Amino acid sequence: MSSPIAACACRAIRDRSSQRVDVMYLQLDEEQTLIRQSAREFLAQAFPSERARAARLDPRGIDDALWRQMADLGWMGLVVPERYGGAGASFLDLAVLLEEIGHASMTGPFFSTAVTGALSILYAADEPQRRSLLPVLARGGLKLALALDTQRAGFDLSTVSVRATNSAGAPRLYGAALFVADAAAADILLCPAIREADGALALYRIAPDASGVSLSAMPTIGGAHHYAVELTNVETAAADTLGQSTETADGLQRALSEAAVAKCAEMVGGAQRVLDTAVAYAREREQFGRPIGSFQAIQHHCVNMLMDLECARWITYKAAAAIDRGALEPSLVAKAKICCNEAYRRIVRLGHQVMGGIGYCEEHEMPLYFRHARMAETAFGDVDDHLEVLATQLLGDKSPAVTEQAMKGAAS
Amino acid sequence: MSPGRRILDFELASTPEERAFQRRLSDFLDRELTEEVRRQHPLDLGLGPEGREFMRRLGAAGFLGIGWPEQYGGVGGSIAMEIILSQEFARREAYLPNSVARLMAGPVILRHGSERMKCEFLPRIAAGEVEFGLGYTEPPAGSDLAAMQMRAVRDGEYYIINGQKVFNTQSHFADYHWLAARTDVDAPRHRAISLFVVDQRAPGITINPIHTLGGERTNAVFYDDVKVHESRLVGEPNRGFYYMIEAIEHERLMLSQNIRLRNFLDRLTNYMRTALRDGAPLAKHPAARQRLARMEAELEAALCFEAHALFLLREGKTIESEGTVVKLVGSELRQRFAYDALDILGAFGRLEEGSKWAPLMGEAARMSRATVIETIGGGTSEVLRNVVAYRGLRLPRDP
Repeated sequence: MSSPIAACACRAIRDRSSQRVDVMYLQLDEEQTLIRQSAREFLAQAFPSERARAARLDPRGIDDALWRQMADLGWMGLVVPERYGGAGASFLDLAVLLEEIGHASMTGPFFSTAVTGALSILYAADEPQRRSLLPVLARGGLKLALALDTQRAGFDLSTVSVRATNSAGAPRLYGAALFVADAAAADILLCPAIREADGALALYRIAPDASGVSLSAMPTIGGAHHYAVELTNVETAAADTLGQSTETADGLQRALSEAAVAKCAEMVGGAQRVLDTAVAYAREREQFGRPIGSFQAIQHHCVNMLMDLECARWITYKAAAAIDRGALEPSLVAKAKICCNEAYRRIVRLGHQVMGGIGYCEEHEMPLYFRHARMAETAFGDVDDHLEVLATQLLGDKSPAVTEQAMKGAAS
Repeated sequence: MSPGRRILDFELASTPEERAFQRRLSDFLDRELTEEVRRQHPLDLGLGPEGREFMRRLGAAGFLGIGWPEQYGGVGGSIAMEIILSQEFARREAYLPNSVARLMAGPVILRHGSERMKCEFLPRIAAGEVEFGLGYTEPPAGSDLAAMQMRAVRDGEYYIINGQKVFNTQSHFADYHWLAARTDVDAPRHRAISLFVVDQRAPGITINPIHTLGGERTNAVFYDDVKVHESRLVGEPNRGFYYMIEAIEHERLMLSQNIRLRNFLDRLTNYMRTALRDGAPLAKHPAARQRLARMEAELEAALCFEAHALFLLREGKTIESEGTVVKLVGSELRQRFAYDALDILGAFGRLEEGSKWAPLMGEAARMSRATVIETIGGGTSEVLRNVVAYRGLRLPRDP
């Protein structure tokens, strides 16, 4: 634990429901700047874009040596509280690290483990389970995937269709979950399911190689990381139920909301890389006898990227700070994801435009970011999903009259 | 949170002093800012007698001259309070009087003016007694300000000034003209401009109205052998262009008005909750719902970045192009808002104030007209993008 990140993560002993500090402060602090610099340097060396291209097509995403290094840097348990063996860092610290993950275009099980997985256990498992799982995760000894059955990739718990049969103590699971990120890399699948006994949402842990579990690849624009997880009469033991089902839905929803903010940070980092790359290229590349960056058309593209990037970045930081303050509103998650999705899409498009033909080649790094943007923008809710969340908050449900009628019809 | 770490705070007022200032200002505005005064700016852009009186009370209550030295009528306080002042007016969709004197003329006089000039003008600005109008733009010098042709020729103790300004928006009610004119014909054009404080009613000045799409009156101002005493030259001769642009990022930030949209968006949302479109609730209209939600998201993001830029300003950090980016984002956002509102409101959105059918008192229609200038005035979006490209992104200049 000699790296700057590990060192600062160790100093940062904090609980995320912390008191408010009484001075306006709106820039990254020294520790966050340090996290950024050291992560940028580490990833530039350990995960250059050649490796990002290879990792994209590798179902396991990251090799064991790199995973071990990342764990040694304290990344796996960055936001896991210290009492569970984590670094207890702030969510904004995690956001800064995820920006660098996005900047390096690192796909694979880091996000599903250190973000979605860790948060799901933190909020939806019970205390003994947290004590047994999280320290192993923080040490790098556990990879997780959330087999949340939804075609909206982790947005909406109401679409869960996996069922848990009513066999006392040890239910059996059946059903399917699509678009499960990093299922093939995971040691444990976290699988939310509806209990047939009472219709409640419960969370189960299952082994990907357990009898009745079948993984089939769903090749995407992003690569080889998504799987259909099909469950046929999968046995669970009593200890495989995580947490109390009265708390599962709220806990998972909280994990998904925070994961959405984390995904925003990853997108901001990817967008920053696209802008950096385009600006560097525009300074050097000459056409018509001068650097293309001296042409106003190119300059304006770059400035449009910067405008989008700054807005996306600061709304993401606001959401991360709200998590640290214990006051994350669902509407802020929605706003952040809408802005990041739209900003990243426009930034990648303009990046391609500035880079010209070279950016269209797979050997260039631009395709990595195009692919990342396409996958990230559907993860944890797309623009339309979140617009509807916001609209419902502002204007009420889109069709309450129909719903009431339907309910009356169902009752009669 | 461990000791020494701070959570990001997006509230403008954060210290006890700043919160007390904000409360005091808010109480003052609840009491003194009448609807009539609030609307003088968008309706006519003149300060009538009520507006003048309001400005004096604002000064008397100690809200002008924030951070200026006491000997020049200043009231102490921090730049954070200056920010709170301008944001609180914007939040109420009100016109904060005398921005030229408060943000441009006053600070430049403070930095570069003679002792005599400081004593003559700063206390009266801080007391809310005098209004300045901006005199930069000319027919041949819009975005390219250094191309200005107005000439100021030395004649003994005086300068004789001739030429024409245009789009000088406050001249018909301002007391003084914050005037840029050419004082050297041989030097490179940026090093040949000087700033003057000219009595706006001096003999030889003709002010002709120009009426705009947004409903604001602006002016063409003609100088015909106008005699200005050398004591009204600001700082050194031929340094005026540098005085004009030295604090431009600061000015762009202080003029940011994004929070104005908060009130507008709340009113639009309230309207949508009860209004019908073609007999069905507008609140259920899918496209209208999406437009409204996107407006919320985009406003929040713009305000978040603006808050960061304001933080840099109040902490005295280096600002390379953040003020310009805030201006670009905000001006284009307000235009989009106007069109989104028009689209949500349909035919009724086109109704002007005065029609009994006009939603939001015709604000969407007015806003769509008035925001046309926002991406033009104070630097066109195109010129500002050039500025950000070479100052913020270090791209090579267009030769």
